[in-house]
Amino acid sequence: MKLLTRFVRHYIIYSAILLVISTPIFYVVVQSLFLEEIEEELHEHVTEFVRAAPHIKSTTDIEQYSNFNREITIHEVTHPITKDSLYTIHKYDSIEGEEVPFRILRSGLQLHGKQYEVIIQESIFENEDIIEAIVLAQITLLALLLIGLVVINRNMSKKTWGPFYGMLERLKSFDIRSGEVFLAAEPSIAEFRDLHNELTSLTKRSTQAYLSQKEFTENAAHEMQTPVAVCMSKIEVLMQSKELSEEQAALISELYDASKRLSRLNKNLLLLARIDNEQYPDKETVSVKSTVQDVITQYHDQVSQKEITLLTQLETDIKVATNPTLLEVLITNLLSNAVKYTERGGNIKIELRDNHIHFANSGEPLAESTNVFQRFKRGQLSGVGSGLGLSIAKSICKVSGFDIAYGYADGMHHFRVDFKR
Amino acid sequence: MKLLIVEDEMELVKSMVSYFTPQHYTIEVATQMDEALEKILMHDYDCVLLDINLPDGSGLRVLEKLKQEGKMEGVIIISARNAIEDRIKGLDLGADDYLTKPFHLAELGARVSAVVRRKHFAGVNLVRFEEIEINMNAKEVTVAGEPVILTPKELNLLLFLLANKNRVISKSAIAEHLSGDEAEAFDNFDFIYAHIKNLKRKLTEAGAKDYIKTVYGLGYRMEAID
Repeated sequence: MKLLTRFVRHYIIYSAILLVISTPIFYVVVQSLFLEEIEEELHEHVTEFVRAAPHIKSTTDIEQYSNFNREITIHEVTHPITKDSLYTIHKYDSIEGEEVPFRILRSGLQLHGKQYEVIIQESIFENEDIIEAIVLAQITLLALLLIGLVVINRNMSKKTWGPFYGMLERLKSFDIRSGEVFLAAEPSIAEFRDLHNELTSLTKRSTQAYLSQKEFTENAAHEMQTPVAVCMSKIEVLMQSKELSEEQAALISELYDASKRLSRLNKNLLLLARIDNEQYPDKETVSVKSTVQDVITQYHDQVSQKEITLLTQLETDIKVATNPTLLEVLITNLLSNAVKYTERGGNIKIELRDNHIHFANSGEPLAESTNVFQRFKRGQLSGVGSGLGLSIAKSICKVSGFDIAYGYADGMHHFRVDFKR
Repeated sequence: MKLLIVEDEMELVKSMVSYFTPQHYTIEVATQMDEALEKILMHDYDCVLLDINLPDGSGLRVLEKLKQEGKMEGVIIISARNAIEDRIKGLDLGADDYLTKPFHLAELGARVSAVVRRKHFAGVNLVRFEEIEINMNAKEVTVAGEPVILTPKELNLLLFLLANKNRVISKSAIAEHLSGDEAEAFDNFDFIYAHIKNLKRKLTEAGAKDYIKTVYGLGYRMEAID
């Protein structure tokens, strides 16, 4: 939900509540004021009548008066009316042509020794009319208020929230890998300036943390190379010892394999760090087809050793402007991955089409949540590879602007790289 | 054969020395750039193993000096740096080869032997071992004058074994030598066994003695039979 929508929604809800509450209050207030006014008028009327009463000479006069004044009815009564009473009745009104409410004042009058009842009536507005008028006035008022608010808000938000949206846009395009600094114009509103300052220092800190972490990976891998080299060379020298027992030879061999794995892991970590640090900037136009063919040649032994059927469809060539080393590493890692995880006697398919390359290899499906491109996420055959091959492939695709995707279908693992030409 | 090892990591130097000594190499060691510069001016070597990161400067300066002086030493850079630019720079400056740490000593042995061979046999490039003779230019192998047809992989394997003769070579060193880093994808080294078996068969069928010994659990060794 947008900020403005949220504001407007709250205004509308508030206005509706206001309307619901205020209408009856207004109604009650207006009506009571109105009735008060009418009652005052009725009393005045009676007072006037009573003052004029001594001039009335006969009963006929009273009857006549009564006939000429629609509002006043005078009857002779037996008991004297000592107390005035007020009430409302509905009766047919010939002018309006419908039943209308009347406010009635009943009062008593003593004239020439006779008791009279004086009834004065005044028609009052129908309730519905009042409510209708009030609601209409209210709605008009609130609508005008709301429109005004929205318009003012929109204009204000454009001006006031402008820096905020500017920072938001800037934050969206912020890429920690690029090493750029978060730069946006400093807003004049205090809260936004705080936000801006916090964002600036936050992004600065994250960039620093990211850089030092990147640097750390590379340095650590780099520093490890020498001890690993020493370790491997010592084992190789140890291997030359005469008269090693079988047990010793086995131990040396195991040590050697472990140090070899360590070395490979280290090389891959270093490679990954270098790719992520974009240390392979040089680009040239490379033929994917010939790269694939070269890599396949290198893997000939492994493929035939595992009795894997390798099917290739390399009729169409793709020329890509990229770093040739990275492209070779990418293809190598994908094929290496396929060879590693294909069971003895399985199949591998490599297909070049349009502007993508497709690797497929037979094998059991992976656990569903497995992200194959994550570092150190291997299939069931852990210990086979360094666990970095596909992360490296993913990183290469990222820095080269390719898309890589994994899927499982028809008993095959599929990897597809889209070279966006 | 004289070898100069320029490397500041003493443990690595010790390994290299003990690996190369039985191979009839005379070895000198320099652990600093200044020391290396001094040594190359005073002596001639067949091959210089050069580390780039030295405590008092870049090994590349030693390489530059060698070329300035018109020295004919073969140079193999052994460096922890694997960056392409370093490699290209080193080779541009006239290094003969480049090896990244960590490496197999057997691989280093093969590289040294190849460099020495190139430097020494400018014309006819022959590798001899007992009755086996390899013409490097024609890529032909003969056993007591009889030609033996080897596949490129088998020839490569034979040269690798010969470069490290009398030394035990691990299967993984062989695998890596034959197929580069891709050896990673192997879940066993049976294919090496197959290549060794074929090579042995072809050589013995041509009348050579069986010089390739299996060292149980470790790898293979090629040695002359007393």
